[in-house]
Amino acid sequence: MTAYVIRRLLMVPVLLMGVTILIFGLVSFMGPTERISMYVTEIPKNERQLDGMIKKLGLDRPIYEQYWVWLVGKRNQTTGEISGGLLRGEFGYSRTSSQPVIDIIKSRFPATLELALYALLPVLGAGVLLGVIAAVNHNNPIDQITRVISIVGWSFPTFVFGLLVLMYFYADLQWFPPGRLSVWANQIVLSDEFTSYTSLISVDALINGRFDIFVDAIRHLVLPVVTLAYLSWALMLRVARSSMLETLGQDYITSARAKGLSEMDVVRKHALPNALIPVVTIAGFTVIGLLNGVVITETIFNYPGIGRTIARAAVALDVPTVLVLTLFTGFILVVVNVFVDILYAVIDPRVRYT
Amino acid sequence: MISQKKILLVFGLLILAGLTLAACATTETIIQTVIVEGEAAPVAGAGDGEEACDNPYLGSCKLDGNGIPPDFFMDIHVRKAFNYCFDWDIYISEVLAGEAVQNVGVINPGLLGVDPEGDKYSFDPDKCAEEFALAYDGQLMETGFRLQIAYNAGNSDRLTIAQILQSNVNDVSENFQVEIVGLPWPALLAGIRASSFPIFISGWAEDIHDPHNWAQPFLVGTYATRQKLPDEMYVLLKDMVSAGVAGATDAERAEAYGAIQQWDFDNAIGIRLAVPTGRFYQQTWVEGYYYHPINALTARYYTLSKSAAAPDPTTLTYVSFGDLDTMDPAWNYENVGGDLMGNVYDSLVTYEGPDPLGYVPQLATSWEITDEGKTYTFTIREGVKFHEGQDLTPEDVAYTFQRAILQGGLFSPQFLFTEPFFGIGTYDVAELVDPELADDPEGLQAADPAALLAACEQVTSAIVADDAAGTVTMHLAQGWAPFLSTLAGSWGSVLDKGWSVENGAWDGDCSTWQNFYGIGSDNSPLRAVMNGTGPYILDHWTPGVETVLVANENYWRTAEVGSAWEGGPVGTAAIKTVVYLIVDEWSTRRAMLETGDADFVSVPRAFIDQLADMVAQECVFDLVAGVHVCGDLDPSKALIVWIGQPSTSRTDVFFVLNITH
Repeated sequence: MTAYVIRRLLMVPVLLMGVTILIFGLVSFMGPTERISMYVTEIPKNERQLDGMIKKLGLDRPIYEQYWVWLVGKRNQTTGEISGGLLRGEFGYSRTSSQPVIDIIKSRFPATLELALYALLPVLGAGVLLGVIAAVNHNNPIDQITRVISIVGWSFPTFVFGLLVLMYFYADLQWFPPGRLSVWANQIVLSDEFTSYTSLISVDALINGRFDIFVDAIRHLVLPVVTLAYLSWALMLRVARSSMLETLGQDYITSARAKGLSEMDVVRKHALPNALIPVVTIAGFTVIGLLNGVVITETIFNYPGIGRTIARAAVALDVPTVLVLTLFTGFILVVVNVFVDILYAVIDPRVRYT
Repeated sequence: MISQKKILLVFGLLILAGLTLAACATTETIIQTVIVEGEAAPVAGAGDGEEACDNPYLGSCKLDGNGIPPDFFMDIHVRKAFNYCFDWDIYISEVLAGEAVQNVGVINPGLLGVDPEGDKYSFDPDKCAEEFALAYDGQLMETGFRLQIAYNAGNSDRLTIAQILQSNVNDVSENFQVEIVGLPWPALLAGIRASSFPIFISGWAEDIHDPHNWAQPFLVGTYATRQKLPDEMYVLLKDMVSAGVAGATDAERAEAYGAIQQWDFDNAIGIRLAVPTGRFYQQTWVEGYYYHPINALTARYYTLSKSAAAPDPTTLTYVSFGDLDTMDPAWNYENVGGDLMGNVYDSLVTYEGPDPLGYVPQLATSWEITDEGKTYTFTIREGVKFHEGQDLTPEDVAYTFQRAILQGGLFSPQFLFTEPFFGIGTYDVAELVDPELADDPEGLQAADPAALLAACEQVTSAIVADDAAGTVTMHLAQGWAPFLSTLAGSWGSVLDKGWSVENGAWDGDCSTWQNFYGIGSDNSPLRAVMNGTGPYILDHWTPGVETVLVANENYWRTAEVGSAWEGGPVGTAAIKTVVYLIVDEWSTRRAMLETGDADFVSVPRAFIDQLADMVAQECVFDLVAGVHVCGDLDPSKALIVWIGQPSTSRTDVFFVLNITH
């Protein structure tokens, strides 16, 4: 098992390099002027602006040279200094976010992580539980009702649900504001009196003993979490339900019942572990989706997550940002996949990795 | 879940795909993706193959009804015809919601030398047809033509402009085919830069409130270059623009700009559209608003206060989209950062309250202009401290401007200084060493050390501090009427030399300046820090989220010193905390207005209707009197709206006189 995990993780850099080569391949279709368009939003104020920038950024060099420079850096002919280079730890500067790309990951990923963790609880918990209940009570009213709620959740566009929820619970009732923290709370978090241990603000607030900041953080999380949860658990519920139904129809379930086991035992000990396998697969995808950032939810609730950042960077052709953030999300994808594979082995004794 | 073999396979495919794409692209095949509104796609040269014509936007490149020749717009009658075929009324009512005024000439209204009653074009289908009939000695009506107008895809305002022209021109004759092409911004930029489009639509926003800031870019600078104006025109225009900027008296300048206005009408090198008027929505409890064309409200929080009726009377929250680029005054060239600097830094002079053309002392207590406008001597205020405790000295002032110019960079605002100091046409300090080295830091560092030293000394001798006398003297290359208005901008923010050097900026040594040249707004050591003398101190900047300022309790403008203009603020700022929040989604911003969490927000023109029910009072700007006239206030509602203040930007249609082919 350990060997398997290690082998899987060793593939990561290889795979990621392939992704970067692909992105550079796509980028090579754009001429220097198109690449530089991110730096200007209107006709440049003087006519030679673009030439200098193109030369300085090396956008007129052949694509393989640009890739090499991006990977290992560039030596200044006069002073001999080397600058840049991903492998030297220089991740580049994000023009669309006005900060070094590494800072984006450091500041925005914890926000996305916090949102994802809180959203997963209802999604996984309620989704799976309700799906199982619905399956066990097949075709009873409970089943019908959960199916209706599930379809509504699945069909509701994110932005409609999000805006409705924002208008009612924020604009009308003023219970749950947009953003991640109120201004006063943010000032305390940034100051010296607050130490960041996990970079998850709600957790850190409790560790620091600041219950008021904890409440503020939770208040800001409620609406985005509810929006994400409502729209995601619909899928989870359906998968859990149909998987459970299929499992309950198996012969060994019939034998278990014939043996005289209680329904509860049948469901819990025999049906559930088998039904969970596809659920784990879907859960894996859901986790990856949440960790990559949820652009629409983040936009509506002004939540400073990583999804909005990468979407904006992509639209503006901010290549350095897109490259590094893609590497990052690719990394997450692989890690989560490995984790899911381990989970299979835990749930299902038939699965053995060599 | 995914096996090892599959991962290897995916990796291999990715590499293969990437390399294939790269190979395709580097064989210099240019793929133009064009989304066409309407029927036809650009037609490659379909004629006898006489003249090699690479530009698909020219069609057949000939006057045969299936394209246009590259010098199509050199014919004055064609240009005039297009002008008569533009319908300003529809443009103003449809695109600008009726809130705009047609512009007369190339310079915006209210500026020196602009005659609002001067000659201008108006929609006249008959005159349009007449002019087309005269074009090409009458041939055009028979042969017809086909051309494409390019616009920024997704920008419905510009699409409407193009459609107005298309509809009216196509009506003149069935041989006339104007088509519209929507392109993504990168492709549009590439085409405009290469002068590939026959017509393009673009906008300009003022840096400084002076006629030179219109005349220069439109007639000799960036637009003139892209329009490929013929040499005779260029030479004439250069003289006219120089006369305008160097004019010794207002009367001389007004004459020069009057001549420019007439030339622009007579030669119609573009279609001058309309100046939109803006709207500003605020909560009723915000006090102190006044209109100034270029000194934005967000650059002068010092002038604002909140009544006791406000939920939080000491914190002001402004919500908009868009973050600042850099906090280095020498590099910043966008509004968000520039406005921020107006609060945290001070310049030598500042705007005189609501007066659009007045400048009053700020860090300079007085100044003398001698030598036919070429020498400015500023007396520097004493007793001023920076936020971190340093004292303001004349050396700080001289250092600020020397360093700014020596950092150069065509993407920075420094060309606003290099032109007055070193002559019209000098856009970057590297040109003092070698004209080819602009924006080439490596090339500059490799240049001859003697030349580098000489260039630096040219700068340091043009800006001289005299600590003993308490003055800073600036020597310009020629009289420059907009100089004070240039100094008042965010790029005139005064830095402390010691603090700058501590943070890693140039130390003033002429042998090392080239190592700090052209580093870019992202690499400046002052990118994320601010230490000014202004009424506000930077509390923190969380990129993409918010910027927070707190009032400077030790601001030098005490009651003793007195206000900058009559009725202006003194002492510590009334608003103790200013929060600039970035919220990209309009609905969320609107919700924040409803709850009172925002004091004012950025309102896109398309959504004005959504706020109609919340308006307690309307104040309309009287263009003649120069002030707003307010209606009654309905105390049950939340917002005051200020309507009708002229903006300092304008979108125009540009003809390319010698299209690349």
